[in-house]
Amino acid sequence: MAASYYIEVLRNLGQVDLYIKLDNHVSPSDIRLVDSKPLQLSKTATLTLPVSVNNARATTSILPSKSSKWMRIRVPISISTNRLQHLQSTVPLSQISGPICADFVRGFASICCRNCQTQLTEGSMGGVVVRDLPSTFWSELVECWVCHPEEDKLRINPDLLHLFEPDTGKIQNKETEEVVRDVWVGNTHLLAPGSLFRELPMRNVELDKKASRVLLVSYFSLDSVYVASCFPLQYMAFYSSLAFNEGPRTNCLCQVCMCL
Amino acid sequence: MELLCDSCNYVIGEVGYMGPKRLFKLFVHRSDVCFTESPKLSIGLSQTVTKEFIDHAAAHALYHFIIEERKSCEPVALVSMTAWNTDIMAEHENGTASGRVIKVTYVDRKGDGFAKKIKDTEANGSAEHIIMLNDDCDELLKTLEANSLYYPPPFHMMPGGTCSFLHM
Repeated sequence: MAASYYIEVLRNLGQVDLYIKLDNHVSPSDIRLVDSKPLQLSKTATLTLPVSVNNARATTSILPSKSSKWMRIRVPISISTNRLQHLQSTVPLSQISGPICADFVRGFASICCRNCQTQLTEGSMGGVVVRDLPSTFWSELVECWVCHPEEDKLRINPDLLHLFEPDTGKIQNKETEEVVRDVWVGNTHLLAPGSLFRELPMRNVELDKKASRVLLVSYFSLDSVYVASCFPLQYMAFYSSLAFNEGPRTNCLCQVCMCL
Repeated sequence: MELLCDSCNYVIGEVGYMGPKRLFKLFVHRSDVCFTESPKLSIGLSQTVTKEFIDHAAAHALYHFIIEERKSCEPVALVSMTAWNTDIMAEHENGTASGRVIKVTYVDRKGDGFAKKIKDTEANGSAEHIIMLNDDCDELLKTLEANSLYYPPPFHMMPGGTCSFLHM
């Protein structure tokens, strides 16, 4: 029977916590850290830890529990570099990459339904340009980085930029769809022109009556991805990179503003 | 307007406009990106929800999330992100888990005092609302419940709710 365990690496604390369930197959005397990585759970079962640890400094304790007995081993991570370098290597929240980006999608052949694997796209995807969308919150974050004292004179006006509006069936007088073959990759979605797809069925979102206040709320959060017809994509990429930068820039956005 | 698969009526995204352009917004956890020579790109709900949490936290420094069903707009869970970029390895009688996760505590709608917790959290403005399809809410709750079983019993419950994790 397999042993039950839970191991987590707490990089910011420089610790690894190991919790091992004690039962007939696993006893405290069997458990030991053999070297910097292998953990022996019983005479026959050995695990390899995700990081090297300093097993000489391990501390153990038995956790109080009514249903089962668990042993905790707390052991420091072996840090080859110095502590300052280790702390500096911590990735800030804003720089954690998402599960998808344009590089992953580029060169795709088709898009299929997850449920039945039916191909949804039509024809060749050759010539389709795939680009990353900016961070959803770039327009909020950009205020932190702009160092213009005369911010009201900026020629960037988010009100002039377009927001992704879910089709509620009420929007009239939209221009005919442009023949574009660009695919934009967001953190949780892809934006693609309908021309790439077969004729797909659509239906209005059925909401309970009292929930009608969120008719304009898109899936997940409010989608503040702005793309203006007059807003070149290279600037979107620029703002996207700004949103992911760590600190205020010494160069302000003047050059970009002039271009806009 | 929801976009459906013409073969199985599965919701794959929504239709909308960006300026004059009519675009399909495909949810990456409901569609697969296929390649001729490489394996398909298949992203789970857990990963997209995690990224959504991280983006909100990075932009607004808020770490509590009220998950709402899109149809009813009723909250189904209050999730608090307590740590991220944590590597785990775990095993119990019914499964194994490993990889990089965010650690969360959560209270679902069946939990004690759920309505009051939601009310309090909304009152002090410390939470973001995340609206999801009903099916996705159910799947998320199942994932949270399944992952919580990996925690040792003494750490299963915390003051913020049940401990669990979501893969990044």
